[in-house]
Amino acid sequence: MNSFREVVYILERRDGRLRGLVYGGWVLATDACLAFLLVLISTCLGRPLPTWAMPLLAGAGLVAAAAAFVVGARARRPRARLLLEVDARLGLDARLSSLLELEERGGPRLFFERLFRDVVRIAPDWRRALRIPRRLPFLAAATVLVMALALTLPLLSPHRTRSGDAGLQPSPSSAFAPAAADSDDASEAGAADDAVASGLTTVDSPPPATPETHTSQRTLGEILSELRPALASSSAAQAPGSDGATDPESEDADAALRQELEKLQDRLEAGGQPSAEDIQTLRDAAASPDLASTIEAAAASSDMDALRQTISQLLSSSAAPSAPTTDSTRSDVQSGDDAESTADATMDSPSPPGAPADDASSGASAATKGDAAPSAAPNETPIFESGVGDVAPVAAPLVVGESGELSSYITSGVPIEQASDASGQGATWILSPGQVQSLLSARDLPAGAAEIIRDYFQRITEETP
Amino acid sequence: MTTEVSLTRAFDAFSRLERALGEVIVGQKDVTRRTLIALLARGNVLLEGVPGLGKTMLVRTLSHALDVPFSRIQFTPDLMPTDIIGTNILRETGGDRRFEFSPGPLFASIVLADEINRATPKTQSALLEAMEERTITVAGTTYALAEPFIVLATQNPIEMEGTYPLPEAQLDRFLLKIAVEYPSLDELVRITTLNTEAADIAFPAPVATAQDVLDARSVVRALPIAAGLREHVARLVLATHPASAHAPAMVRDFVQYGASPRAAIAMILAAKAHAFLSGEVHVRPSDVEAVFLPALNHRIILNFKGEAEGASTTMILRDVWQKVPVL
Repeated sequence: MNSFREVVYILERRDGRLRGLVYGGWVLATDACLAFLLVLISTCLGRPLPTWAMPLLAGAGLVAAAAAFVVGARARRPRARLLLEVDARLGLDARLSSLLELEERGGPRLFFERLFRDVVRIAPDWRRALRIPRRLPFLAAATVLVMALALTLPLLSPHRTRSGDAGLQPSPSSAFAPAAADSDDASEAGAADDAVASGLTTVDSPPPATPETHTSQRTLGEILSELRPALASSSAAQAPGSDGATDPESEDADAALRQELEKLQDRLEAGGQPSAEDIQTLRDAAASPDLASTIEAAAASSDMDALRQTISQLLSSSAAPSAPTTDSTRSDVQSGDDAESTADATMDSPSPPGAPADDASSGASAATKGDAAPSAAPNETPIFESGVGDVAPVAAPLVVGESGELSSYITSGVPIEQASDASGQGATWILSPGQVQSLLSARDLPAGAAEIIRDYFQRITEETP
Repeated sequence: MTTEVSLTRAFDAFSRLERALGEVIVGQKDVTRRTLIALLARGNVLLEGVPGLGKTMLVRTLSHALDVPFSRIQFTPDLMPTDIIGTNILRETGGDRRFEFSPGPLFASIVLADEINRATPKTQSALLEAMEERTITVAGTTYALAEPFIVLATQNPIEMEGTYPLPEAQLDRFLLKIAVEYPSLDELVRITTLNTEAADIAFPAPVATAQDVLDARSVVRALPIAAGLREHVARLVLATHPASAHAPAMVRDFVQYGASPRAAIAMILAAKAHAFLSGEVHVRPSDVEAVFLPALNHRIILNFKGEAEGASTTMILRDVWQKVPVL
C-alpha cells in the first residue's frame, strides 16, 4: 500500500467490478428464467421452440449481461459510503473515511500520517475488504439451475408422467380383448379413434427409444405415448377429410422393403441361394417372433420352399394394410364375410411356431375380426375363443385420456384377475400371441409403432415365469 | 497548527484532569467524561439527578483541578437576573459619582447553577446570552466572558412543586444533559470511606490550566469526522422529527418536536471530544453512539399521547438509534 489515493482507486475499481458482476448475474438469471418460461409454455402448448431459439436467448443474455457488467462497473458509489463500508468490514473504525475527509477538506498532516499508519497496521490485507457479494453465487447457481431446467424440460415428455394413471394401466392383452367386445358399435370406435388422432396430433415426433424404455417394465401408457405420434400421423393420413396423403418416409421404406423381397423372391425362384443379408432382411420384415424363428429355421435347413412361401406371405401382408382408410376398413369388416371366415379359421387353430404361413396370412382378416365385436355378434367367434377358454371378454368402458376419449381397443380390456393364470398379463399373452400379431398387422399401424408393441410383448413373454 | 507536541500535551492535560476528577468523584465515570466533553466542545451541561449524588461536588472538583474562576449560584424563586449577571451601582469616589458595573457570579469560567429550575423563567433566561454567545449585556454594554466558560446546571427531577421547568430555548443551549445515577454498592462504600474519615474533602490540586483547555479545544475541532458519519448524525437528528420520512413509528406517535440543527452540531462536537478523550485523532461510530443520548435527550418534546402513555425520550431515542443504522 503506497498511498491513500492508490487504496481508494483499487477499492473503487474492485467495488465497480463486483457491482458489475452482480448486475450481470441478475441479467443472466432473468434471461435463464425467461428461457425456462418460454420452454415451459411451448411444452405445455405442444409447440416446441425452434432450434435457434435457445442459442438466441443464451446469446442475448450474455450480451445483456456484458452490458450490465459495464454499467455496473462504471456506476461508482460515493467514496465516503464505500470507504465507510470498507472501514466497517475491516474493523478500521472509520479510519479510511476520516482519511478521505482529511484528504478532501484538509487538516493537520499529523492526523493524516497517524491514521494512515493505523490503517496499514490494522488491516494489511485490506484488499479483501470488498468480498464477493452473497448474491453473486446465488445468482450463478440460480442461472445454472434454471437454464438446466430449461434445457432438460423438452426431453421430459409430459405424456410419460401421465402414464402412471390408473386408467392407463390395464394389461397388454386386456387392451386388445375388449376391442372385440366393445367394437360392436363401429361408429363409436371410429369416433374414439378420431378423437385419439386429433388429440395426439400435438406431438410432433415420437421420443427416442432408449434401452431403458425397452424394458418389460414399461407400462402400456408409456408405449401409448410412444405410439401416439405414429398413430396420429397414420390417422391423420387416413382421415376422411384429408387428401389421403401418407407418411412419405414410411411409404418409401415399405416400397424399398417390398422391392427387396421381390428381388429375393426372384432370386430364389431362379434357384439361387439366400445370403446372410437376405436372411436378415427377411427377419427384419417378419412381423412376429414366430415368423422370424421360422425364417431362421428354414434358412438353417436350406428349405427354399418355405422361404419362398414366407416371402410371398410377407409381400401380400405388406401390400394389404396400405389400402383403405380406417372408416372404410371398419365398414369392410362389418360386411366382410370372407374376412370373418378367415379369422374364424385362424382363431380356431392358433398358429404354432412351425406354421408361420397361417400366422402371417391371418393378419388382416384376424384383425378385422377383432374389430367386429365378437361378443355382440352371436354368430361370430370371439377373438380369444380358441386360446382363452377361461377368460371372459367383458365390455370395458371408454377411458378418458389426456385429449379425450381413448379408443377402447387400446385402453381397456379383460381385467387381469379374470384370467385363469395367476401370473396375469404374461399368461394372457401366452394364450393369444397370434391374435396380437394379427391385430398389429390389421390395425394398419406404422411399422415403427408395430415394432414397439411387438418388442414390448416379446419382452413380457420372455420375462413370464 | 497542530503538532505532535501540542497534541500530546492536550492529551496529557485531559488525562490528568480525568484522573483528578475520578479521585474525588467515586464512580460516575460517564458523568465525569461527559462533563469534560462539554468543556472540550465549548458547551454547557445540565446535570439531572436527585440530591446527594455528587453533582455539586463534581463541579467544585473540576474548578479546583482546572485552577480557573469558579462561582456557584443557588437558584431560588426570588433570584433576580441582576443577581447573576451583575448590575450598575452608583459609586462615589472623591466627590465624583458615577455608575460602575459590578459583575455578578456569572463572570467566572465555571458556573454552577444549582437547582436551576427553581428560579423564575426571567432569571433563567438571563443565562441564555452567556451560555450561547459567551457575553453579558447590562445597560447597553456588552461584556465578554473569559474562556473557558462553562455553565453546569443541576436540577432535581423530584420535588417539582414550586419549580419552573426550563423553557425549550434554554434547554437547547445545553450541549449535554447528563443523568446522574445512583452509585453501586462498592462505589457507595468507597464514598462513605472518603467522606467520613478525612477531616475534609481533599480537592485536587490544579492539574491543567485554562490555556490547556483552549489548546485542547482547537485540537478537538480539527479532528476529522467521516462524511458518512456526518450523514449518519444528520439522519439521526432528522429521524427525531415526526414529520420526517426517516422517523420511526415511535417518533411519529409520541414526539411533538424533534431535535434542532443545533443538536446535530452538538452531536458532532461531542463525538469529537469523546474521540479525543479516548486518545483517537478521528471520530468513530462508537463516539457518535456514546454522545447520542445525552446530546438529544433534552431536545425531544413529547406530545400529549407520549406524556399520557408514559413514553420517555430515552426509550424513543434508543428506538431511533436502532432504526437508523450507520450503513
